[in-house]
Amino acid sequence: MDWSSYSLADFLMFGPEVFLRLYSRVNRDFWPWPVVTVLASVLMAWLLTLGELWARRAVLALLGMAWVCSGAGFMLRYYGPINSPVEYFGWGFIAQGIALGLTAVVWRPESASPDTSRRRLIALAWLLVVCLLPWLVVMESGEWQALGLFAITPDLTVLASLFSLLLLPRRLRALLLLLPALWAVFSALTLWTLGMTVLLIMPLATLALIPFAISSRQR
Amino acid sequence: MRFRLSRRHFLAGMAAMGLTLRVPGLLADTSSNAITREIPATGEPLPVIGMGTWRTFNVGGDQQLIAQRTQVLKTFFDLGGTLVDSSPMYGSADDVMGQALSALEARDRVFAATKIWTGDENATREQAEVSRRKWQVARFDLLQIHNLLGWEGHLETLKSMKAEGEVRYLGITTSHGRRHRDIERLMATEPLDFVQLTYNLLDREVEERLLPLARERGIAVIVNRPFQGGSLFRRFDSEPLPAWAGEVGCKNWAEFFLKYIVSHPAVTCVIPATTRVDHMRENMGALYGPLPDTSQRERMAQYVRSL
Repeated sequence: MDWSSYSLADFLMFGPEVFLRLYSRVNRDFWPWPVVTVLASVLMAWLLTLGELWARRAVLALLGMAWVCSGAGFMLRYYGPINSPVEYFGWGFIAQGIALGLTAVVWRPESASPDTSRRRLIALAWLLVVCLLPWLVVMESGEWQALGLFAITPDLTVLASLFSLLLLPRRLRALLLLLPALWAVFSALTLWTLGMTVLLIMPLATLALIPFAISSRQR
Repeated sequence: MRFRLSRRHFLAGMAAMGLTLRVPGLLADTSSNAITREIPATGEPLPVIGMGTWRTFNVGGDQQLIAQRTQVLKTFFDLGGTLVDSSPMYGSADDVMGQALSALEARDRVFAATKIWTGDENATREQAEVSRRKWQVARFDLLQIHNLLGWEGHLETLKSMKAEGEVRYLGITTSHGRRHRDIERLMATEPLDFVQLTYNLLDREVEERLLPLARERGIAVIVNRPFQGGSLFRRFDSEPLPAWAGEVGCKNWAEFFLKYIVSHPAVTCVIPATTRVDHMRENMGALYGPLPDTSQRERMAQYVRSL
């Protein structure tokens, strides 16, 4: 087969309208779950400021739940039927969520929690990401119901996770950053082909931050 | 007897005129005036404008969009169309088509065409059955091997299925001008009923060998990408139609692009895809009225090249 004659658009079987409506549909169908995810996001910001082990475990457990919810809900039920590779990613997200949950239970940290100022910085960055970036989908679609929330939509769940994963030792963190990197590449190519430059911010930011997230030392 | 035109009669007449102008199908006797071509294998007539579903009917479980696409399909049937083409490659398009056909109770009106799209050459019947269940039709009128993927195994099975009455016609497809040598070889050597290929005012390579060969071999031709994936509109929509467009029966660019294609004597049917009812009406306009002759076709191609 002459692959050089194909373009990315040849592999995309849907248009922007169908894609953007996924966001408003999932928010409407799962109401009031979007409110719960916003409250959980704020709770996680508070937990990130705490240095205790239980708080770190709670952040990882909530993060795991977010990945499972995004994978089982948005990806398998809504996005997968129109874009078949997303089904595989959906199962990957569920597996990653379970891995994060197990990590939360069995993890015994060898180093202390990051210092207070670093924890506050991480929490602030987290809060900015989960509060501001959902509006990118609103900007793209023109519908406020289309908020792309953490724990529901994959791009924001992946990007926000980078900050929480800084709690983990580097080797484990690198392992858990593999799927985010793959998803970010896939998502960026899809959004680029759809011509959604505003939404490209999230996967591109993920790809830009992953090297820092891997190399960042846990203090 | 003198007839005095009252204000009420005048307004009613204007409203009726406006309605009929907006819906050309109301003026047309869709059974007798629609342009048809015979399928060479059987002589069965087929309206020259069909409907594709690539990118347009893959809307997943979005009930609002399914209802909207159902209206697009209804418009297609109301204005005289019959052939609808899909593929397992197009995500949820087969499912959505099945739901739309159910909503319209239109299974007796559709010429159902889909494709076999799997590299597993032993899975022909299995995939055809999955698609049939999604469409909820008794059988497909046409099964085509999508982009020649696994064609050797699929073609043998399709021949058996046709002989056993499980499908009425069989065919092969290509698009974007790919694998034309292989397509030509199969057209010359295999008992194909249909071939589907890309042809439009800018992509005319098939005029040289494949279309003449189809006529010679008695193979029906379905044309995909008649608007080059929409790029013809993006390129020419801001340009004026030529003053002589009416002479070739064209009121808009959609008719101009489509009538160029269906006026080729080897073409049986063209399958534009759309998500909009108003665009479907424009497409279906090409099913009626005069077609350009050979010299007019050349004039159309020259005009587009000059823009």
